[in-house]
Amino acid sequence: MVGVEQPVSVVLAVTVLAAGAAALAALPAAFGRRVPALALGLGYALSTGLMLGLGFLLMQRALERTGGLLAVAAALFAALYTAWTHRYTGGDALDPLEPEAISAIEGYRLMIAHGLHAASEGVALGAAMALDLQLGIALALAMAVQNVCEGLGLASVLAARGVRGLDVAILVVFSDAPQALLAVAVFAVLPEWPGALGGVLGFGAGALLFLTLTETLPAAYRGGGRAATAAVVSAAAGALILLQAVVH
Amino acid sequence: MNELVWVGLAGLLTALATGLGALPFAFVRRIGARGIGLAHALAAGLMLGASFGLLAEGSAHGLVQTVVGGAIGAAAIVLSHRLLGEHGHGFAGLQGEHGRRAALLVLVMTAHSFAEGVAVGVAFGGGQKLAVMITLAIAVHNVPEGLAISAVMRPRGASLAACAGWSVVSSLPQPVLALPAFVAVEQARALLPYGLGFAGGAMVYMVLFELLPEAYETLAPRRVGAVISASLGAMILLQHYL
Repeated sequence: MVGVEQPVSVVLAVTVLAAGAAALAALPAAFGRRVPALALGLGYALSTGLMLGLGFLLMQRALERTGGLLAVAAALFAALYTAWTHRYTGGDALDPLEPEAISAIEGYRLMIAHGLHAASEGVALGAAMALDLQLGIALALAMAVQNVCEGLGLASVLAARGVRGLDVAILVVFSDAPQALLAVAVFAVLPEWPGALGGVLGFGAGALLFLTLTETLPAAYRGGGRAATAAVVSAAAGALILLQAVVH
Repeated sequence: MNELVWVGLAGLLTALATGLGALPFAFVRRIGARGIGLAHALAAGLMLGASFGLLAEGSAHGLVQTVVGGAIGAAAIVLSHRLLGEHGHGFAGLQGEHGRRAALLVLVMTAHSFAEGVAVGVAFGGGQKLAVMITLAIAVHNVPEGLAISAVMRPRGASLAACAGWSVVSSLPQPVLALPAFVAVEQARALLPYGLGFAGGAMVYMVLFELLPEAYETLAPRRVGAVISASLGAMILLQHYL
């Protein structure tokens, strides 16, 4: 293992692993299997819970480190930024649970939206790692699970457009690459501006909340139904919050 | 004044706030689905903000205990839905009878109020700041609940007073449950993180199971996200600076 004296390398390795895990989402497509809407919905519910749990931890730490106004303003700015990316790409108007209804152009837009979404997650991960490397690594591993869940939706769309096997895996991982890049960049830059940590944590929390509310949660309800979605989201968020106790 | 009196008054205040949900019907006979969806999104944001405060305060007293309490709170809501679901079958043959439908809605809302009453009582155990915030959040959250009850009763000919009265009745478990919850956490401080977790978990589950699906039915996800982000942000600021 790379030594703790080179934490940027550790962050790079862990976040590349987390983004690379999304390749597993291509497995059903590789075997020519279509993922049922219920499984996709529950995957989105799991992803939502993990992101909400991470958002809770980030906002809690942001409020500890900065004035509430800065943390909340950064979170609202993140929500505005995410809303703008949705408007620009139209990504939130597309339903990955009905992949056949998505045209080729819309598929590209969905990939761009997925990449921008991954970038915001990267900011959140990088800030979490800058705050507490041990906890951040555990969170990155949880994010790997989340990437597989969300990747299933994108893989279904790609498979419906005729993309096959390895190409699906490459494209899904490629769309998650901004997560690793932004995590490393934020982790490397934050020590130079420690005063920005609270704001960046708030930004990460706000982005994660808005992404869940506009993308993953509506898809979870459509595929998994309200009872299963509520149960999976609550359990996943609770498990992620418990990670703090497990790590320390 | 005795702290118990404050707890009782806070519970009573949240219950009375439910009656405010009938107020718009003094001016209009119906409120559109989008209006109710907007009220649900607003309530969801406030409830999530309140849950954030409860869970953050709980985790300061014991993270694992808070999460365990949260799981029990969510399970309590699941159980109450199951029990009400079984009762719902008994009412199924009575569909179309407006009075029965309204009674069932009041029954459902009343069952939800139990966890909210516990939240008010436990929050007083967590300090004055938390107590004020949770009382305010639940009071505001109760307004759309009263709106939902009145939206069913008023178009079917119920008087404004009946709409407001039944809305308040649906929240009466809040002052009733707030007192024993407060006494329990005061007598055994070790119960505090469990109690805070219970209230937070129950509220999060209610938001996920009831408020958000209703909001998504009538509003675009983008609008739901905007309303919740703004109201949640306001709640966090209120908690931070109060």
